[in-house]
Amino acid sequence: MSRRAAGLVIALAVVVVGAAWWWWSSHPPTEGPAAVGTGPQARATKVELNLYFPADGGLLRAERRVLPLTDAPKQRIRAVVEALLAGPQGEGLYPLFPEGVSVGSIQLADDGTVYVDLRCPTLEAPPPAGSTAEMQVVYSLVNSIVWNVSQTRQVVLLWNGIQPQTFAGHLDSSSPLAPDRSLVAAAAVQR
Amino acid sequence: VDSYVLENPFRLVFDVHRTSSVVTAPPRPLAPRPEGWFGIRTIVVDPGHGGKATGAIGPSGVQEKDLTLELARELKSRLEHRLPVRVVLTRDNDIEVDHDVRTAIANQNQADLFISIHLNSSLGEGAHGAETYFLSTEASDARAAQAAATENLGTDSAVPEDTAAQDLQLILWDLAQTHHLAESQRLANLIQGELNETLQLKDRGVKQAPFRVLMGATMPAVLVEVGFVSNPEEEKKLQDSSYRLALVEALTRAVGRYKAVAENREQPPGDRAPVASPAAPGAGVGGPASPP
Repeated sequence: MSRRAAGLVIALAVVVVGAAWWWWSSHPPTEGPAAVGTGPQARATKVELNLYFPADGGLLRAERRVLPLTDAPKQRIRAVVEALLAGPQGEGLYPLFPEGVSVGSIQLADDGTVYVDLRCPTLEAPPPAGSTAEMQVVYSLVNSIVWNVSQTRQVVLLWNGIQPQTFAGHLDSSSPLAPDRSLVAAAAVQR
Repeated sequence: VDSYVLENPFRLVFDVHRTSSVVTAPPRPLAPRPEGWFGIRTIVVDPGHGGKATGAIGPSGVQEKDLTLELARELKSRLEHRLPVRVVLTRDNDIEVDHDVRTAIANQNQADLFISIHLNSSLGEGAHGAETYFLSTEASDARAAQAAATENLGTDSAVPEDTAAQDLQLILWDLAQTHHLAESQRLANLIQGELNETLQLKDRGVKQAPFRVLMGATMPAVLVEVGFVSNPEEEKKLQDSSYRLALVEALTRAVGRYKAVAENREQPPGDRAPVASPAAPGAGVGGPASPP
């Protein structure tokens, strides 16, 4: 083979490989887990986990749920918080807030502190509550995040971008909160 | 105008009032303290919430801030009538008072006890009864760390002598806080016991939590949730003035017993009175006689 023919073969091979790569990257496989975000670690798989919702007696009770989660910790946190805000599916469990509360930005610091910004255009501050109701809401979020996302250790809750002195009049919100096991009912997990 | 000094960050707070001061009653003249004796002489009672901060709202529209004020006023009156103490309220009308200002009022008045009164609410059904809180250890430690950071910011860390002095100061501060936590728990146990005994309420127990209003208090401090306003039956009871008086009576007895025990502990051994008796000198109130 002449030198010119060899060059043509190599050039053709490069073009074919390039075209194949372009086609593959723009047409991901249709089978298997669906991509939720972007990047190689954004491939979601269905994960079974416990979400902690307010329950009778001033407690929290776990509801077993399946959520599509990626390996990206911020996406996992967002999925957990969105599922909590959407409310429980089972009987005897209660939503955290009235309708209209959504999750804004989520930040995760190197020390495992998560900053979750809860947004509600109609409420300047979290709804007024007694200390038990306040703890049910706060630790529903804190426990569910920290116990389901291994990169997290503690949580700071913001409301409409502001970190309040207390969440609803009692719990100090100026420092991150770690999970509290004492509020979780000992009864079986709801499926 | 009242002024308070707050730390971390350093702040000067000026509280301007249209009528009377937040500190509602003129200080009751007290006999000078014997040297080395630290009895219970000043008690700050804190009616939870106020102003725009309504606190919990019951099914029939009862607002926590109104009932806590009623309870606090009655408790002040009863404590001052029964015991040789001065009681200061953190608010005596429907105004919003910052959490840090509430503890600053207690610190400013060199209070020996801080009692914050609240009504509870829960999501869901079935929660009822009283519970009494004192500051969680983690929150107390975090506060100590904040204080340490503030101390370090305010000095030249290159000077070793200063650092050693600061360390000593922080160790002493930490020891004092540990003592306050233990005393807070003792007071919380007495209050919870009296509430359960007197009112036959469901015992929800003594608990710890990182409540803002308990942080920064340099004395034993508790937060009492006297009942669930979210529970229709309890909401109805809490609206009944005779029920509220019974709650106040239970709180008064608990403070009287705490005072008797605490003061007896601080007397020289030869002067100590038996603490199990409700009629211990200085207590002035009756009640069940089990030690804390």
